[in-house]
Amino acid sequence: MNAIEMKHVTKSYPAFTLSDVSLSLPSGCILGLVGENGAGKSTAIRLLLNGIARDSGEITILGRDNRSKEFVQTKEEIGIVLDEAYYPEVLSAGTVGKMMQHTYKSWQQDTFVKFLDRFSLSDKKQFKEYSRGMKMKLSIAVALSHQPRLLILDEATSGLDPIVRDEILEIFNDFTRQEDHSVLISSHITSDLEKISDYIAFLHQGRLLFCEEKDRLMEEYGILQTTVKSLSEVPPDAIIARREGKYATELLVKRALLSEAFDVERAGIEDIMLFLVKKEEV
Amino acid sequence: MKGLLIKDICSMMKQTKYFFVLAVVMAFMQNDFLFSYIIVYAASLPITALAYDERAKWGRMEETLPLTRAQIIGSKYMMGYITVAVSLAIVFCGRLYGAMAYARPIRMENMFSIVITACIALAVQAVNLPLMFWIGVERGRLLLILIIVSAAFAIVSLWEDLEIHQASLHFPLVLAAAAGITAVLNILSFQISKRMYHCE
Repeated sequence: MNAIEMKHVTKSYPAFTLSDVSLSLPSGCILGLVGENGAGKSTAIRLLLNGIARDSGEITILGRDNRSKEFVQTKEEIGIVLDEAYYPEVLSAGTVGKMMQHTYKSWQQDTFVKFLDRFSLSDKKQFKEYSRGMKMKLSIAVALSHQPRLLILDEATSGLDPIVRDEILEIFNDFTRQEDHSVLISSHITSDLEKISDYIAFLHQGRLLFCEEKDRLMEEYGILQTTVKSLSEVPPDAIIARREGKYATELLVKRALLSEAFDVERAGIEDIMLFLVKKEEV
Repeated sequence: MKGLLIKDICSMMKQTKYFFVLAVVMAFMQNDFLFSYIIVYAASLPITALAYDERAKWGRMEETLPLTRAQIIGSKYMMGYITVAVSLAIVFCGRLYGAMAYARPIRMENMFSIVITACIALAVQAVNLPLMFWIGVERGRLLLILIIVSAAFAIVSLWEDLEIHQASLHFPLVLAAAAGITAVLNILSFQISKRMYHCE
């Protein structure tokens, strides 16, 4: 079963359109949603939760249409961390816990308290006194304290220092050790996604450029450094995009279409992204 | 809904605490205007809660929670009913104290004016909340002021008229009519608010 399924989803605003997005997240996997600022990642996530109404298409979360009346029950099984923790600033972790206890049927106060301890968060301190890292940790503690099967994380690691980010990514990795647990994580920090994702979806200017298995992407694409002179030796079919440098030309190539004579380097998610964006711009 | 009420109460704890302390003091001052003020102010507390929500962009968080639109909207209405009920209780206690301490008789028209004020406050809330859900608190507040001023004019004119005919006024009937109109207004308002809420 797919934890998330989006089929031909479109949402238009006067200045932006998320158009014809189709992607799926198989149960038990981590899908990294990558894209530049304003690419439509947060819009896609709000559409998934039916926080905004789609113009067309279909969205199913944990097997349920997100427009159905029963979707409110499905939300019990979704842990969500947004780019900011939007709690009123005078609340403390303690009152957030009390509030969530009366919001989620499956709320586990002891799990929440354990997370607060693990993250060294005081339950008395007011939210406005928290650092960004502490705010995100509180959101993560809330997201993980009601037995979710699906985690949706919208830029949950952006603005955090590498140590906190690593700690948080480790928690997400732990979460997927259970077979039916899935994670959708949106970020523009590609190194985070490369570390933990099974699938990568790339949104650019409201369009989905690809949604593929990460390992397949790594196998499929490579970077070839070449000179203008030797460029003609590269089969044209293998070239996906090119980047001109002062002394050399960098090519994003399909490894399978090149012989072993070519010295093809590994392409990271960021490389693939940049090449594809440049190609789009051309 | 209980979770949202806890959030609202905790968010406004400081302000609400001062208001209710002040309300108790005012209630014992035996002034009809202050009695009305306490009730009308209590009915405006849900708007303050909405302002806090807007400031924290709570709406983004709210749409991720397992709550129906009716529960989200309903929590603000419920808050208004609770605060008005508490303020009514304070005002009645104040009246009772006046009756005992100063031997001021509790007259039917005094009770009548308190309950009518509560109905008006809740009717204003019924008009106000859909506006707030629709255009936000800042712009909604301006409209609220307009509504309150117009309502005050209407009430003063009506009141003068009523006082002329007070002897012939059938209090239980007027109270029942006021309660009925307030209930209908609130039901309609709730349905409109549900449509207005986050219609992106």
